[in-house]
Parts: sequence; structure tokens; C-alpha cells
Amino acid sequence: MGQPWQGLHRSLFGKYFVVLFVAVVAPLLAGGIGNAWFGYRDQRAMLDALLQLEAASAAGQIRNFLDGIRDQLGWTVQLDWRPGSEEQHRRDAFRVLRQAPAVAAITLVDGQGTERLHVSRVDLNRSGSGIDRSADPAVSGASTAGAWYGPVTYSAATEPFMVVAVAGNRPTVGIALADVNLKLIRDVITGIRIGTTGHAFVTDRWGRLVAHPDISQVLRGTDDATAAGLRALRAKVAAAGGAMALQSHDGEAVLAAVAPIAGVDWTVFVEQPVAEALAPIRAALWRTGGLMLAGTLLAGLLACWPMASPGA
Amino acid sequence: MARRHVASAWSGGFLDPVPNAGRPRPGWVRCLIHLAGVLAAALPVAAAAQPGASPRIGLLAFWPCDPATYAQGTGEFGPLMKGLEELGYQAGQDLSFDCRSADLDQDRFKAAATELAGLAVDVIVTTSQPAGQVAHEVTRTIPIVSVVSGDPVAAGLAQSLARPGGNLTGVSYYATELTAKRLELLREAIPQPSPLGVLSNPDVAYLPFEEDTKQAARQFGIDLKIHHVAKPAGFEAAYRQMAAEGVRAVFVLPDLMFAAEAERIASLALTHRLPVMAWGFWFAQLGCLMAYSADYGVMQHRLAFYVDRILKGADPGDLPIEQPSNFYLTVNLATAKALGIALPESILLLADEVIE
Repeated sequence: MGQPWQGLHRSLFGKYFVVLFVAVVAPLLAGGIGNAWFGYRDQRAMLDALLQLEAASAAGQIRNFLDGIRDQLGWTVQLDWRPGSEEQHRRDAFRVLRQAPAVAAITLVDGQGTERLHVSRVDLNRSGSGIDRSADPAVSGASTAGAWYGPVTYSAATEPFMVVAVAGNRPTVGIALADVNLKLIRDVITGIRIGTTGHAFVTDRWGRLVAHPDISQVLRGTDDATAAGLRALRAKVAAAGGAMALQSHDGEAVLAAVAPIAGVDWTVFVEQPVAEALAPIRAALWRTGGLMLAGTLLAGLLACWPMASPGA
Repeated sequence: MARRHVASAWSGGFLDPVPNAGRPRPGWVRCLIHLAGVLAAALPVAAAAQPGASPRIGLLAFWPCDPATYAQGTGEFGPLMKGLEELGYQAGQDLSFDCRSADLDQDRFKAAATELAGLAVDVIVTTSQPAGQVAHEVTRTIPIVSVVSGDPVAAGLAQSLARPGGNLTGVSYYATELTAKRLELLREAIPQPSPLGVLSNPDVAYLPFEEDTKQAARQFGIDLKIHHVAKPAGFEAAYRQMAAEGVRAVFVLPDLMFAAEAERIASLALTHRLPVMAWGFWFAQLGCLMAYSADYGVMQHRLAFYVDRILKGADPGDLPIEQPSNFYLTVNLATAKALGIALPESILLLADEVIE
């Protein structure tokens, strides 16, 4: 009694199951996969654009930091160096120290390149020392271009400094040279957040770290291998024309974009871990997967439901 | 009969019945029960796999331990606590603190540090060079985060600033580097500070404060009257002698005992009508004329950063010792008025805090 009935119901059940399953799940599958694929492409394109924007914005903020210092220095090169004007110049220099915490020391040279004043937060001030600074590239650089940004140097092999030199609108006001403590870019850099786990950092033209949210990476000094690696990374990402997925110099899988900082030949890297960047895409994939599973279960249940009655 | 047919109908599909008498449970219900059982078994395992007790931070204090004050953000370790809070740690939940103090006696640092080392804390934090040095003598394995003075390389605490290499790291506060600058600032405020009284604690003679002061004084043509004070009781006598010598101002060299006795130093100065240049901002707040040093708030905040990195697994030998980049000049205008000193505008310009 059971055998032929079972055979019949098997094939009937089978047919029902296959038809319903295919009718429900196949479109679901096709839609899901298509969604995922196109969604991924769209998401990546958006991410690329976003990261590039973030990089440009970060470069702008660093640029603002440097411009702020340059502008403050401008106040010290407005008055001629005349006998008796030393006190006024000293006052101006103190005011820059007040307004620009990143400036560790200011040197004022006159129109002939002779040092007239040096004020510092740490070393002793000098007045009328007569040191000849006319051969200094900072002095000649500022005289020709109006502003000059020096290379990044590491004091005590660990603290990043750079010289910013500014000239006035006429030679008689001389040139102002500032020793800028680059650790104070820290506030700008840590304020740049890409998503929740992304960050930005800055390298100079030789690939050495200038600013990083983890300042110890800057203070430790960038060895030649890492610097070369960063230079290569910079070239690769710049050539890609947009954001790129790659291994960061820390060994993390990230999406990275770069932007140059004009005037100082630095580069801003903006990185976001791939896990966070692609999280929406992965979420969409899980959703689709979940829906397909639910659809499959539903199809199975629907296939079984007609079978309950014939048994009565 | 009907039941058995229902059973066999179910058996044709992927839903298998329970092969026993009684109500056949559909396969999916069985599956759910299995899953629930597995989850119930897995949860305790997952809970056991959670990280163990929260990290313990050892505080090696000079002043008596005062956790209540620290929690409010003031006191010896207040800025450290605040810094840790800003980095996302909740005191009591994520961290626990063990504080041992030298109770204002530098000789008791060793006992306090040994106790902390015995407690197997995850990191020891100190806010002064002497404390850091003693902690380094006591343990070479427990990470130490400290404020350092002078040259940590020469003191044997680190191999280099960029890579300390051992178990000690932290921030420098340019205690010695700023000596000449303080003298220069005092000269700016008081054009003829000669003869200049100097208060120095012979217990910290291993740091070149006196030598740097003498050198700067030679450069400025200032006549120094150096007085050694090793105990709080010695200040009265020192001031009386300085008054007798006719000093025009007092220069206080950095030292822990002096830091704790700031109020006494300031009030004696006011009694003898002497302007005082010290290093820590609290001196000026308590009545001294001026104080100049690296910014303490920023420094102690940086200590929190080091603690955070070490708790996350960084090797203290890989964390560079930072130099100060923010400096703080405090000026007490009320004291200036009381002493009849007209402070030049340049000093007021440079001041980061003016106390009226």
C-alpha cells in the first residue's frame, strides 16, 4: 500500500518543490547577486570619491596650519630696521610667540641679512648679535619668493622641526625666520577622522613621517626602508588616480588616497581599514544571503503544505 | 492509519520525523532545540574566553595618595586620570589603580616602588625624575611611565630618546634646559636682580641645576647667593640669611620637597618682600611673582597616552621619550603690586596665566 503511493507523492512533492523553489529562489538569487555586484561597484566608486575628498580636505587643513604661521610672522616684517626700532621689533616677536604656540623661536634679520634679534621659548634671546645670515637659503629663499619652507629636521634625532621664513613688502624690513615645532600639527592630524577607524598622516618629499595621530611613529624616526616604502606607496596611489586598496606601511589592509600639500612638497595619506570601508557592502551581502535562506525555507514549507491533506 | 500516512508524507520530504512512538516532532523543531542547546553550552565558553581582570595601574606618588582628588582631575595624578578618561577608559570599570606614596620623603620612594612591583601591576606611573629613577632601580620588567628631567640617556634610564630600549619611557619637562631661560625672564621683570638668592636642594645635586644657574648668572653678570635647604624647617633660616645679604630676588631650583613646600616658600618671600622666580605654576598661584616651565597639564596628559599604548600591548622601549613643546609662564600681578614692582609689558605679553 505504501510503495506506489510513496513513489507518486515523491515525484509530486518533488515537482511541487522544484517549481516553487525555483519560482521563488531563483529570482531572489539573481536579484541578490546582481544587487551585490552593482552595489559593490557603486559603493567603491563613492568610497573612492569620499576618500579623495578627505585627502584634499586634510591637505587643506595642514596648509592652513602653515599659512597661519606664515601670516603671524608677517606682522614682524612690516617696520624698517631703524636705530631705536629694536624694542618695537622685540614686542612684535613676543606677540607672535603669544599667537602661534607652534613657533619655538623667531630670528629677525635686516635687509642686509644680518641677525638683529633672536627670541626663543627655550634658549636665551639674542639682541644685535650681528651674525651674518645672508648666505642662509631661508633668507635668500624668502627674499625671492616671499615665503620659504625648509626641510623637516629632527632635533635630538627625534623631534620634528622646520624653518619658515617670511619677507615683507620691501627689503628694509628684513626677513623673519621661525623655528616651527611640527609636533603641534598633532591637533590638526588627530582631528581628521575618516569614518571611525580611518586616519590621515603626512610625509615629506623623502617619505619620512612628519605628522601622524600616533606621534611616536614620527618621533621614532622613519628608517630608510619605511621611507622608501612610503615613497613607493605614494607613487602607486597617485598613479591609480583615486583610492586604492593596499597594505599600509603598518601592514593593515586599507583603502588609501593621497593629496599633495603645495608649497612644502609634503603628501597627505588618508587611510581607512578595508573592514570598515566595505562594511556596508558586506552588510548588504549578509542581508541578501539571509533573505535567500528565508526564501528557501519558505519554499520548502510551501512545498510540504499540500502534502499534509492527502494523508487524512 | 491516517497518522502513519502523515508520518510517511513527512518522511518523503526533507523534514524527518523522530523515529519513536508518540507525537512525531517535525525536524525543524528538533533542529531548533539542538541549536538552543549548543548556544547554551557555548555561552559560558564565550564568557570564559572574555579578557580577565581589568588592568592595574600602579601610581608612585610623592604627595600622600588621594584617589578622590585624582578622580576630580586635580592633584598629583588628576590630569593623568582625565587624560585616560578622554582616551575612553572608565576608572573603576576598565582600570584599577594602586597608589603607593613616599609621603613627602624622597627616601621612601624605594619602599613604595618595591611594594608596587610586588603587586604585579601592569604599569607604574610617576610624575617626577627621582620617582622614575627609583622605580627603574626596583624593576626592569614592569613598564614605567615617568616625567624625566635632565638627560635620561646619561642617567642610564634609556638608550636613546627615540628608542629608550628598556622598560622606562615618558616625557621630559626640560627642568634643566629652562634654568637659564628662567633667569632671563626674571631679569626681564626685575632689571637689576643682583645679588640674587638661590634656593637649592642638595639632594638633587646629581642634576646640573646649580651649575646651569651659575653659568647663566656669569653671562648676565649677576651675583649669586646660593642657599642649600634639605628640610622644610630650613627655609626660615635661608630667607633670613638672604635678607641679611640684601638679595633683590629669589630663584628657586626645581625639587620635589620644594614643590611640596611652595606655600611656605611663597609666604616667606612675601614676608621678606622678595620677588621669587620658580618653575611650577602653583608657585605663582600661591604668591610667588613668576613661574616658567613646560606645560604640566599637557605633559601629564601625554603620560595617559603612554599608559594607553602600553596597556594595548606596546613595548615601552619602542615608545620615544617626548620633549616638551608647550611652555607656560605664570605671573602674579597681585604680588607685583604688593611688592611695588611695575612689570614690563613684554612679560605680560608672554604670560600664559596672569593672576590678579
